[in-house]
Amino acid sequence: MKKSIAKIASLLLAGVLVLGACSNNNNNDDTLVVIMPSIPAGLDPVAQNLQPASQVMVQIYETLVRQVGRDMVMSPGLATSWEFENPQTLHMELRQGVEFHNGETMTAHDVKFSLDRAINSPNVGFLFEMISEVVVNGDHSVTLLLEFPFAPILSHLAHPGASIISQSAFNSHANPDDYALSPVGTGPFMFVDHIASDRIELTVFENYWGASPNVDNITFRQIPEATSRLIEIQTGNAHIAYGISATDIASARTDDRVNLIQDPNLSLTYLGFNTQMPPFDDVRVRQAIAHALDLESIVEAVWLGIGSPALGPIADTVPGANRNLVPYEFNPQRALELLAEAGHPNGFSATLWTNTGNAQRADIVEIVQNQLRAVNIDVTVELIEFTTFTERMDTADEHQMYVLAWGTVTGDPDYGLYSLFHTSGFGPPGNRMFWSNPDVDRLLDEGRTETDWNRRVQIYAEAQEIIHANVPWISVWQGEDVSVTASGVTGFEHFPAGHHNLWTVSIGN
Amino acid sequence: MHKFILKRLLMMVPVMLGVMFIIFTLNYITPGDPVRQLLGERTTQEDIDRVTRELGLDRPFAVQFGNYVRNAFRLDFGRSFVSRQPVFTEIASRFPTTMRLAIMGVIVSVLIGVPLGIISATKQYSIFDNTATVVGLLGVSIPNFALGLILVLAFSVRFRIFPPSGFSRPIEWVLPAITIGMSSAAIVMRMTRSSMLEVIRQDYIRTARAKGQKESKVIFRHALKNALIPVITVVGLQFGFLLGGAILTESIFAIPGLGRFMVDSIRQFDYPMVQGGVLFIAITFSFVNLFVDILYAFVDPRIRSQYK
Repeated sequence: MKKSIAKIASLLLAGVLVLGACSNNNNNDDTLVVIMPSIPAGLDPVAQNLQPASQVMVQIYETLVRQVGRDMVMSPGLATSWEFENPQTLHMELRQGVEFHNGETMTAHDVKFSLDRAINSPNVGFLFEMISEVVVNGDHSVTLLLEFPFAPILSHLAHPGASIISQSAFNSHANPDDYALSPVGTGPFMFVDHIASDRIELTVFENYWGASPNVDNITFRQIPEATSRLIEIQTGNAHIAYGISATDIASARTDDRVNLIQDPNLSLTYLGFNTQMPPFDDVRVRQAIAHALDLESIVEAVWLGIGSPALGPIADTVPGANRNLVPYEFNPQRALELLAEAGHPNGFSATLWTNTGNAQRADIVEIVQNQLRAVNIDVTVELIEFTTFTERMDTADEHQMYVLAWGTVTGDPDYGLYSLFHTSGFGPPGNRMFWSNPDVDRLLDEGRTETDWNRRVQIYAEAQEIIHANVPWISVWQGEDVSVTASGVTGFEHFPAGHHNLWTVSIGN
Repeated sequence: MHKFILKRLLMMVPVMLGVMFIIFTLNYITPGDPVRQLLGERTTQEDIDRVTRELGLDRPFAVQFGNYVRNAFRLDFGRSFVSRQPVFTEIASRFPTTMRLAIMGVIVSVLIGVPLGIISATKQYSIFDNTATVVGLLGVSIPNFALGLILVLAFSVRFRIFPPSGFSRPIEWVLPAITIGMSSAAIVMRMTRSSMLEVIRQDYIRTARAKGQKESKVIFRHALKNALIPVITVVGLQFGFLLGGAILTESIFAIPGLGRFMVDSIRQFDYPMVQGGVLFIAITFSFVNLFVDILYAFVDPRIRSQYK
């Protein structure tokens, strides 16, 4: 009896060890395995506006123009050249001989079809609301007619929402929703398989018009737990992991099996004021609060060193960000003086809102509450479900202070400033501070229509100075992307907007 | 017996209707707007109104619920608000994984819990019993996510025996099964122990021993069989909990199951997914309960006679 038990036990152990030996490095040599916190449910460019979808879609689809590198330099994509006939008419010549993954040739009709879908999409339509019509001029040329002069149109056309899809592939589905799981683009990789909540597999597109990627296949795997993502790289099961948490950074930094990559991105977390609600209608009160907050300590406590205290109204990674602004010094004494000048020598009470389901924002409001107590401002914190939170700030009747974030995903200052600080942006477009300044309105309108980039930089620098001085919001945190790659992986770089290109990545040995 | 099963199956219909009504009502009264969540904060009121109409959310509660029930009987649970895929497909792709995880969790809990419980009961207050009690306490107390990460760090990172994530190959089942089964194992062990302790003090056990039967025969044939009823109940309940409560284990080991998916769906106000998922879990739970009841009959002839 004892002998047979021992036999069974040793057989089981041997089995486990053999299976265990097969467990590591199980990927094909030419497959790049990328670990993400979540994989998208579908890959229709206009059916959502979410980062995980963009991270996969940029490998499959292409846009008319593309932004390249950390500086987001505008380069030709599926359009080879473009010209403004006048500020409201943009001609674009399309690349010839471009094939879709289904073997069909891309034409101007596909471009019109894709852009029309984007314009009418409730998810990404706001990015393309300035396009009144897309006109097809033969097979390889389109003209975009704009409702109003809009200089940053190219950066909007580079957004993944404007990806060009195959019209016939889309129309081949009886139910349009089914296209999301059989996407057909022109990019260097084509879609192979999607296993819900588990993985998405892509393979190289042999007839791609551009340079071939360095790997033959990509597998995106979903691993929600941050530490598990790092472990996948440490154990050699994957090559790149996105979204490494602050608590794992030390472990990644000291491990020579992995490379830690940290880069600032385009996001900014801010504390906004309802500037039509007393006492926040007084700029001295807002400035006092800016002096009363120790941003360094907030960032250190909340994000454990990831990212940095923000300075201006847009993230300083955005081209055109004014890096010469002078930060509000942490000076509670000065804050008390300003409050006294504004008629609040004994402070006041106020509410501070943010949304539920975001641990960092919940931490921020708590720390802000504590820091403002030192200058006699008694803050009541309210955590509100997200959609109710934003809905209640659609008008200026209720909220006082709030914490929210913004990402300038197009990489153009217009996107980070216009809807947030222009009077026309009151409410849902983004100006929930209900702050209005004629000079800023004029400058932002000018920045939209001016086509000379250097002149635009000057215009936006001035606008940012005025906004910074008036403090409709306090910029709190400049976000950062944190990823790890396995040692031997080369050619990976963070794209500031978060959808990193993978066709330059090599996985080595 | 057939009559009993048929009766139980018919009784499931009103139960399911009740489940549908409760979850539908909860979704309806929960604060938050699924359309705003879906479209993001930059959307316009016109788009919100249009999508609300498209999703049928502008209709009165009774109409929405009536349509849902009618379609559900045709196995049409609608489409997910988020992925726009049929709810049935979305659940069907994840449900087998969740079932497999729950079954393995139950196997682990029975394989560990029942033998330890028997030994603890037969050697009451021995070192083994006390050790098993402490281990049992630990099993119940250690949160799944901590145990899972400890197992991964030990057996994946340090000794490299098992992979740290995944659930497709048998080698990948080991750590999640242990993680999810451990707390249930402790509960099963405690139940087996107390139930066995009660049974082995009965007269018929003393009689069996007096007849000179071997101790192993006394324990396994006479005592265990009679002690199993409460254990089966507990195992059945544990199985039900594992079906819906494997969220942390699924997260740590990146298992594409229903638990985590349901949490994401709730967060995104994906009503059709939440309703469909809860309904599936409820149906499975009901079937498990029925199976447990049938199992009683096999274990205990007295119960079998009542089913007729």
